[in-house]
Amino acid sequence: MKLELLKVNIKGVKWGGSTEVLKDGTLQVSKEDLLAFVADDDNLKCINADIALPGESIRIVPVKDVIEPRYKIEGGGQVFPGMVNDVESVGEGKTFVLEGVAVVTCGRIVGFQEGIVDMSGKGAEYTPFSKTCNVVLVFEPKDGLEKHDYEKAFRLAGLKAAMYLAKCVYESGGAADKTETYEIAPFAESMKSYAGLPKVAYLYMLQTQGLLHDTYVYGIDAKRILPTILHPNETMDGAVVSGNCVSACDKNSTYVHQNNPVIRSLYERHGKDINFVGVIITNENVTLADKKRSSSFAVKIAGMFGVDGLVISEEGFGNPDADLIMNCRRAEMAGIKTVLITDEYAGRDGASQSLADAATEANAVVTAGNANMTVTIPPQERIIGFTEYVDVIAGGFDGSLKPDGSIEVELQAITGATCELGFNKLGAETW
Amino acid sequence: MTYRIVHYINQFFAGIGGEEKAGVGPESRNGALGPGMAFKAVFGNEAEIVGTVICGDGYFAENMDEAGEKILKMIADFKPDAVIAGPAFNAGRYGTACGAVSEAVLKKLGIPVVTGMYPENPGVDMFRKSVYIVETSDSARGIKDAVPAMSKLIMKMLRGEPIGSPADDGYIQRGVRVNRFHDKIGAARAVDMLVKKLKGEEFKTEYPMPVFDRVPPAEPIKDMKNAVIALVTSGGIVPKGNPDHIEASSASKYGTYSIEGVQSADEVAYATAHGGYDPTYANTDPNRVLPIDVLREMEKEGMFSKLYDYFFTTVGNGTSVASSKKFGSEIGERLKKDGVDAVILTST
Amino acid sequence: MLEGGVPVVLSPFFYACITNNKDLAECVDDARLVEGPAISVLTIARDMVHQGWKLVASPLYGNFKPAQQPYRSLVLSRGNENTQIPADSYSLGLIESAINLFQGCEIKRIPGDMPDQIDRDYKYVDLALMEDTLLECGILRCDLHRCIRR
Repeated sequence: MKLELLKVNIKGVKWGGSTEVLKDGTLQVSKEDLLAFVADDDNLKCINADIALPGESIRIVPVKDVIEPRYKIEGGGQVFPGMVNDVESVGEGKTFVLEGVAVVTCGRIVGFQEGIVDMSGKGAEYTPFSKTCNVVLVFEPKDGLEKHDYEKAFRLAGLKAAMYLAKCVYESGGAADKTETYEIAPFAESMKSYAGLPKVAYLYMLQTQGLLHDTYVYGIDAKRILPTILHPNETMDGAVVSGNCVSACDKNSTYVHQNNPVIRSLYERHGKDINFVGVIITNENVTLADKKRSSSFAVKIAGMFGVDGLVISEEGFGNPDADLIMNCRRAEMAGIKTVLITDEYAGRDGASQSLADAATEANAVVTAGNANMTVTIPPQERIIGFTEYVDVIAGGFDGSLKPDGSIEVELQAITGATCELGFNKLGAETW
Repeated sequence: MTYRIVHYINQFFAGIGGEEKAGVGPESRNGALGPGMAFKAVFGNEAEIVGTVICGDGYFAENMDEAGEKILKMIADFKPDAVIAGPAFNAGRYGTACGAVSEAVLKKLGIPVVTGMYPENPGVDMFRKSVYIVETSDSARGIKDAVPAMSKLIMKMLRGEPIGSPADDGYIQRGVRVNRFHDKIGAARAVDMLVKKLKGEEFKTEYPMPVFDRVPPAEPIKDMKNAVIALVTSGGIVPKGNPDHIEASSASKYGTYSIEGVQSADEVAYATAHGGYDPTYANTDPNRVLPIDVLREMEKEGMFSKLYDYFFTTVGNGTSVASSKKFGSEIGERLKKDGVDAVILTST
Repeated sequence: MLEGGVPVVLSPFFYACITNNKDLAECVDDARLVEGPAISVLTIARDMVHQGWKLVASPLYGNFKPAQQPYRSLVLSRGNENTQIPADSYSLGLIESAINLFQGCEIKRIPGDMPDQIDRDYKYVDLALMEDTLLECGILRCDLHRCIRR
């Protein structure tokens, strides 16, 4: 399967009469057209659309999801299959990408929701989305809308907006600045390729605990799946999307699913140090029976591929730590070498045990940092969204909001700060 | 300004005497003394050792609460800006005292404090989470490296400079997780690590899993009537007079004593060497810790075949995990060799 | 409503639900409502594990720090209510380590210590996260959406 990503390098965003890329690389967006396209009058009242650029003194809070604008121009299916498009399989052909831009959806589903993106200052160092030019959509629900329905409407609106922007630019004649090609041969071939190189797969754990904690694969709530196989390219076309709203630092937004850095890193070493054979997705359910079933099933698939090594990434923390450790132990016991990616909850002083579970088999772990570390983020000139509940959001605490407008928060409150797909350079060490 | 520093040392470094003088109580002297002279030389005009507080290691171990309070008051009387304790090198009781004094200074006086120890000193395990312990060699020969390292750290604290990593600032890992930015993103680090692991090359995990040293329990005794039972205690019961001088805390050894023909661990022949609990009840009737009397009765009744001829004893008070492990394996080997089927472990 | 083929396995298991969430207790058959913080729920469940009950779901939430969420609901099962069953060591290990985590928490939230709107949302999410487990065990009394829409 071969996918080409045709990337337009976007250098800025501004409102204008039409949606297209200007000569200087600025994405011009027709606010009116965009809002009309994402409108969902039965469920949502969109109260604001805004632009936030890197370096501007802007805080976006609470951020629900971040999505990269993409649009398929060749090959089966369309981006975000089963969500805002047909369920046809994706991952082949050509996909048009607006690189450097993100659609950020913002709004409250529950009162304690967090998710801070600061475009400048200390907070900006920790969120990857301070480096993207953001088109921010702020939503509120129609009165009486049930929370599950609101979350869904909210999620779909963001995806629609992202697809719409890429589609408009493509249709207005936007030209790609570069093309990236991703290709892995069919199993029959790939299993025999690169003799001497170890076969490696990626065990991709998806947060699937319930409302505000869900992930969707081709439109299916991933808590209802048995672990299965994906071609890595499918993720690039949005086969996996986020329905996740809590624990901003380590929930995987759709953007990081689309740009999964583990998949990119495995591709980089493919054919050189390893033979990257595919992606196994699994879930992180709440019942112990589900945990055992999924873990056993996922490792069984890895065994059927005869892989020598697995990268296993976790999403979130708490009881998913048990899934992570279970996956690791089963794989190691089956003779498959593992490296885990997680983040830590070692307390503000860093002295507590970082994970809720442990195993001696987990001897190769990459950490995305201690999410309990506090940072004081300075006030920003402009707020997009709502700040009144910062005191009770996941990474905040009583007295978080200082009189001068600065907030002392744990990294947990900052969107994408300790992404367990290994999206950032942050890590932790023992002192 | 010149910072005021108080130095805590034991009777040996104060020149009072060795083990025979370990029982001396806390005292306070003006100015620097013993290793304090070396610190004085390094501090120059920046800081001054205004006083030295001394306590015998044995005295401290046996009277921790009282000694601790006295020492703290003596330190506070000098109105210091900071405290240094030791270095204690590999001296177990001295290390424990330095750790305890440092912790008390930090908690009660709230001023900077630094101590120094050899990594295997039992005081390290007990106090490294709460106080900065500079890594030293195992003997006083290491003083020339210890002094500059401890001085550098305490001066950093006094100047309010941020403390760096253990490697940068020479202290023993406190087990605290600290965030830092790497050159590469996490995913690339993970794939690098996997490639190394697959090639059998050395790799370093970024998060060492906590190790729980769990020993799987032995199978239950099926034939109790024919079993040989042994007694092992960390409650410090020894033949009166403590013939092997097992230390009241941070024990460096265990004792093996015959109880062949002994019907009871009576107060005439036995007492506790333990310094970590009120010994009144154990000394009134040592069977309370080492129940020879009851086991002899059971032996007579035929509940089991024989009480093993020796008991093993040590003091669990502040004894390092490494020492305990060593004692345990040696005792276990001996018991196995002698055909003992089961052990009753008593502690306090 | 059996979306996704979740089987309703009733007999021969007995289920017990322990919760400090009043809203959830109202939707569940014979729920035991505990007055007090989340750790009280865990402690009761631990005692039940010693008496032969098994945990059905993990005692820790995902993506909520222990004690960040004031509400906690647990479902336990056992094969026979009247015979002596030894404690399930896996359940015991999970609940003991969960209790340790809760005890070590810096922020301790108790039911009702936050603004109403947020308190309601915490109760709601507790219920929503237990939805599948309760359904699987067949002890969710009424349609969840009706339960929690109020």
